[in-house]
Amino acid sequence: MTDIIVPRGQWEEDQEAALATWIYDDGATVQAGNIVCEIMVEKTSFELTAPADGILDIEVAEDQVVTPGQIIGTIV
Amino acid sequence: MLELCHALAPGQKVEECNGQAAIDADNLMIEQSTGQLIGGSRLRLWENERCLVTTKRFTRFPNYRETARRSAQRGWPVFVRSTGGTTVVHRPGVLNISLLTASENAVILPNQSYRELCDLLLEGLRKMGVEAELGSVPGSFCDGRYNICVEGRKLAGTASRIVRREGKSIHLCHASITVYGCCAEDASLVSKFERGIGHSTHIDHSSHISLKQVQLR
Repeated sequence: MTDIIVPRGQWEEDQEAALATWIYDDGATVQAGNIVCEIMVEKTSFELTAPADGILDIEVAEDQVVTPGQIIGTIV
Repeated sequence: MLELCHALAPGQKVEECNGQAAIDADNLMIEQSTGQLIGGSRLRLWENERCLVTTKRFTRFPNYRETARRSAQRGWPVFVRSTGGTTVVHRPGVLNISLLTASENAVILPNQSYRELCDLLLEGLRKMGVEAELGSVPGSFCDGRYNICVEGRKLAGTASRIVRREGKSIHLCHASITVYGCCAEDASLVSKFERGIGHSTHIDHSSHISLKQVQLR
């Protein structure tokens, strides 16, 4: 099992980030490097990629606030 | 329109585009820039046909499909972009400016991703005798901290996208500036669409201003 983690150091600490979109549905098969979701900060979108091959297990819903270091899903 | 384009990028032509292809051209520019443009940038000026442009997030709202269908029937098809924010209007009279910059192994913060394009817009407007500033305009559609504002009203909206490709940081900043046309009608279209899909929104129809309105003052 590999965690999908919100990266650190990509935006200022006082800026709020939200999980904008999951590109794949919960339970989808993904490959390492696939863009799995987008995070939005100040109308700026960032892509997060799958850290491994496997099944996507979504833990944080769209529109939820996320913080650097937070686990938002896993690849099982 | 020509005066503004000349002030922003002398000699550069405005692409006359239509539909989703006009929006996708920005994504294509990102993918094509991988391995190129390090330390450089590429500017695109373009004008789209009548449409609403929303974000991927809104396509997941339960009433999205039906609302988009009705909007298209009224002559305003709905397309999807990959930068942030909410729904905006594209039409003749709204100039889109996309600036792509690539750098090697650098972390680009959101604030930095806006700086170059916002500076270009503010300087271009200054050349035309328009003093504008950056800021949020509560009540405007697709509001953000990096709007281009005149007298507290929104003249242009901005959004950006930061991606990593092959170890490189690429950021695309996009602005839509209302050069002419009815801002209140634009606001009404966005308001109707977003309420239709089930998104709670309050848009003040007087919160936007066109460049033509500014120049007539």
